[in-house]
This record gives sequence, structure tokens and C-alpha cells, in this order.
Amino acid sequence: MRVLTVARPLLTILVVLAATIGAWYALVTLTGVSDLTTRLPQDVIAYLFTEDDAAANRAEVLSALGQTVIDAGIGFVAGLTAAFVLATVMVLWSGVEAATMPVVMIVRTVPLVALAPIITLLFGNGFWCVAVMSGIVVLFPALVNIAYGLRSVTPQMHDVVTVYGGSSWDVMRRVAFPTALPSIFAAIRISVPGAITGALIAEYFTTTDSVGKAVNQALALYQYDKLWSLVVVVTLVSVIGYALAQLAETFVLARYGRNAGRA
Amino acid sequence: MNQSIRRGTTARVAAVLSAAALALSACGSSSDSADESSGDGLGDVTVQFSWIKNAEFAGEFIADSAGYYKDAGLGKATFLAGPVAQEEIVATGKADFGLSNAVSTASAITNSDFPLKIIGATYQKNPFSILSLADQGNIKTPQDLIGKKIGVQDPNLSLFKAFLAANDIDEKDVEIVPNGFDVAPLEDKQIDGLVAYVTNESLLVKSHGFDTVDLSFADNNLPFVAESIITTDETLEKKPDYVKAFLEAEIRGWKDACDGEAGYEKGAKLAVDTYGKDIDPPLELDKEIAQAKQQCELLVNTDETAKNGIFTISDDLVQANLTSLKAAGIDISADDLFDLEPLTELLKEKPELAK
Repeated sequence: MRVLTVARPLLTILVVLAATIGAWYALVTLTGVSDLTTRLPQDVIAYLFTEDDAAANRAEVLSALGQTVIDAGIGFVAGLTAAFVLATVMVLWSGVEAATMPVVMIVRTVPLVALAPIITLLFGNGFWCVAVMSGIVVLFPALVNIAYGLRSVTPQMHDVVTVYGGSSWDVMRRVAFPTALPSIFAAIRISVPGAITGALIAEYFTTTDSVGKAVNQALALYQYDKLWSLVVVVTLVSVIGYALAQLAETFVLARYGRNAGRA
Repeated sequence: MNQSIRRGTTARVAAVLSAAALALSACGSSSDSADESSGDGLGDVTVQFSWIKNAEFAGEFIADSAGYYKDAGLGKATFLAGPVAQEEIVATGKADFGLSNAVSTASAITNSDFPLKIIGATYQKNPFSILSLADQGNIKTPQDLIGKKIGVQDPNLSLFKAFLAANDIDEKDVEIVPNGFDVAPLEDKQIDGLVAYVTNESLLVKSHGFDTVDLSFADNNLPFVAESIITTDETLEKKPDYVKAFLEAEIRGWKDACDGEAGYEKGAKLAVDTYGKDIDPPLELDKEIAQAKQQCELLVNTDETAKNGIFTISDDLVQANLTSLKAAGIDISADDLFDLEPLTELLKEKPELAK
């Protein structure tokens, strides 16, 4: 069982990678786009590992990637925390839902690129801009998932706690949170690529060296090797982040989930 | 059953897709050959502009409307608006010629081996500047940049850094703010300066009633040609007459466009009423006339072009370009970037064009 729990995320990574590389070759060769602008996996490997300047190239790409991982991390934490707190409050007091959901919907429905200038005006183009933009992408799907999980407490469980004199906070703490674990982990998993997307959009408006910024500049300077390498590494990070979330989920649910101890 | 239907659909989709891909590639090759064997003499010509269809391309508009392309033996002329990646459009055959600048073209050649050359230049000097308001940034010298907040468009970031380097200013002393091509942040005084065109944004802001200050890149250690004409090595090799015909029509168009007030107005009117009439927000005629005049006086006509003819790039200017490029971190030889042979030949055959 232990072997399987670790093997599953690993397998996910391998399958995703194989499928991506396959699709990559197929798209580049079948669409017949000029090879002046397209690059194949071996070109990216050459750029990052085997060329004369590979070390310098790698340093450039990795420093940009590092910043993006930090930015995505900020958005991930900000978005999930906000979603968790909001969902909890919404489930405890239904009035809150009526008050907050419309705002969340507005923020979510208007495309982020359209909101971005307003966000940069309000929050400047530093840390808070990244936190807010990346957080917005993460917030909505996480909120819906977590709220759904918290609400799936059965009436019987609810009654058990109240019969023993528990408050609705006790219901939340002792029943709802554990019940919601699978939903919370689903939220975490989908938040990984969401946070990266949000970070990349936010980086367009900030000044620090990052993938979002570097992609734009590489495009302007016709550095297609660098451009494709950036896309590849940021995709890899996203896949790995997703797999890590999946791994954490498997371990936690094995211990605290519905089927805990049954294996 | 369900399964097999779905598989059938997938197969069909795949078949359609590959057929489409084949058709697309077929289109690509057939249009190439059409260029060569078209009934209209040397063939049609597609030109990729570097910007929206405003007076920046007055010479092209006049060359088209006055029939200079046809006179030179070319077919129909098609103009594609920018801003886009002109080098990519030309190198991949979506346009026959493009208008760009030395820094951008040199980047494409050195970074991704694009088979391109610059064959002439409309602007002898690049129109890039740091635009500021007299009562805000008031940036008159490179030293004035220190401590200021400057809006820079992503595509121009490396250029701006080269400008700082060429003037010995530490990047850390200037606050770079990402900005689009929108002048509003400058007018609202959120930023002290903006990377702009002396011929465009500068005049636009002035026309809004602001007192503006320009700090020109070309006059401050970063000279290079702009609105330079690019084409592929293949076109240069296989269709030298086509290239020369295009240059001839361009030169005639630009000579008209820079022919005093009447020329400025003609080019500006063509931009506002014909070629750029769909632009939103609409072009303003006064600003376009001012732009047409400014670019001719400042950028198209110089002491050297008075002597050698417009579009020419003197040896000194070629060297100055290479020096600027080096400051921008681009190491390239003259022969890898310029091919001025067709222009030289053309002016030898038709010396009246240089007058």
C-alpha cells in the first residue's frame, strides 16, 4: 500500500510528461509552423544543458523561475487562506454568503487582465499586487470546493454534536473540517496551477525578474530557445506541485479520511 | 457501440485536422510561387508596418495611392498594421518586407538565426526618447533620469537598459515601471517619464496641452536606424529586381511625403481618411501633419541623405549602429545585418532618385 501511495503521483508525473512531449512533437510537426519560431524538446535540453552557454542560460531561467515559484507561493497561500476563512464563515453564518458571494463573483467574472490595472493602482506593483492577483485566481474554485466539503456534514452527525451540547463551532471543528478534508485537498490540488497562472499574469505588471516578465522580453528579443525553456520549466513546476499535493492528500486521507485504517 | 462511434469521430477529426494542416502548408507554398509567377510583373508586395497605420507610414501610403509600386513593376501592395513581431512575420513569409529597427532586427538575427537583412532605412535616426512633462519629470539630460520613475514597455526594456548603459547610468538609480504604450500614466503624473517616439507620443501629449520634454536616444549615445526595411536572404538572392523595384517605389513615396507642407499634409490626410480610417480612437489630422513634418525634418532628411539620397545608410552610420548594438549587448557584423547592395545599385541606375 505504501509503495502504491508514492507510486501514484510519480506515475501521474510520468504520464503527464509523456503526453505533453507527445503532443508537443505532434503540434510542431503537424501544424507546419516555421521552425524559426518553434523548438522541440531536444532544443530545450540543448539550451539548458549541452550548449556552450548552458550554465549561463540555466542560471537565467532558474532565477526567473525562482521568483515565479515565490510569487505563486504567495498567491497560493493568500488565495487558499482567504478561501478557507471565507468558506468557514459562510457555512457558520449564511448571511455572510449572501454578502460576499456577489463580490467574489464580480472579481471572478471580470477577466483578471482587465482588473489588473485597477489592482496595480490600488496595491502598487510589488508583493501585494502578486498576492491579490494570484490569490484571485486561486480563491474562487477553492472557495466553492471547501464550502461544499464543509456543508457535506450529515444531519445525523450534526445532531450528535448538538445533542451533547456542542455549538455550531463545535460541529465545524469536530465534524465539518474532517469531513471536508477530501474537498480541501481537491481545492489545494487545483490551486497549484491556478496560483502559477495568477503569478504569471501578475508578473506582467511587476518589475522583478520572473518568468512572466522574462517570457515577454524573450519574445521581444526573439530569444525563442529561452522562451520555450521558460515555458517548459514552469510547466514542470506546475506538474510537480500538483503531484506533491496529490502525495500529501494520499498520506493525510490514509490517516484521517473516510477509509482511514481500513486500507 | 458507443465506443466505436466515438472512435470513428476521433478518426474523422484527426483526418480533418491533418487535411487542414496539409491545406495550410499547401497555401504557404502556393502563395510563395504566386509571388514569382504573378501576371503583375514582379509580383504583389506585402509590407509589415511597425505601428498602426498613421502618418509614420506617409511615404508608403503615397507610394500606393500614387501608383508608384505599380510603376516600378510590382502588383498589388498590402499593408499590415503593427505593432507585432515584424521580424517573425517577414522571416516566416507572411510579408515580403517589414519596417523595424536595427536593434530588433539584430536581436532576431543573433538570437534565433533569422535569415534577414536591413536593406535601407526610412529614419536615419531612431525616434526613441524619454518623454516627460516640464512640470513633472523634466528630464533633459540622461543624468536627470536618476531617481525618476520611468514607464517602459516590455519590448523596449533591453533598449532602455542599453540607453542607461550607453550613458553610464546605473540601472539601480532609476525606477523602471512596466507600462504599455498608453500615455495616460504620464499625463496623470503617476510616472516621471515614458519611453516614447519623438514623432508620436510626444506630439500626442503636446496636443493634449502639456509642456513636454524629449530626451532623444539618438542624440545621447544610442544612435541606430529605424523604420528600416527588412527582407529575407532568400528574397535578396532570388528576386533582386523585385527588391529594387520596391525600394524605388518607397523612395519615390517618401520623397513626396517629405516635399514640404503639401507633402506632409498629403501623407497625413491619407493616413487619417484612407489607410488609417478604422483606427480607434480616430487619428487627429493636426497631430498627424505635425508628425509627418517632424519625422521628415528630424529623421528622414539629414546632411547625409541630402548628399547620398534618402534611405541610404552611410558607412559611418553603419558603424555607429554596430556600436549602439554592442552597448545593447548585441554583437553582430555589418555584413550579417545590412545588405545595401540593391539600394546602391538602384541609385547608380537611377541617380535621379537620390536627388
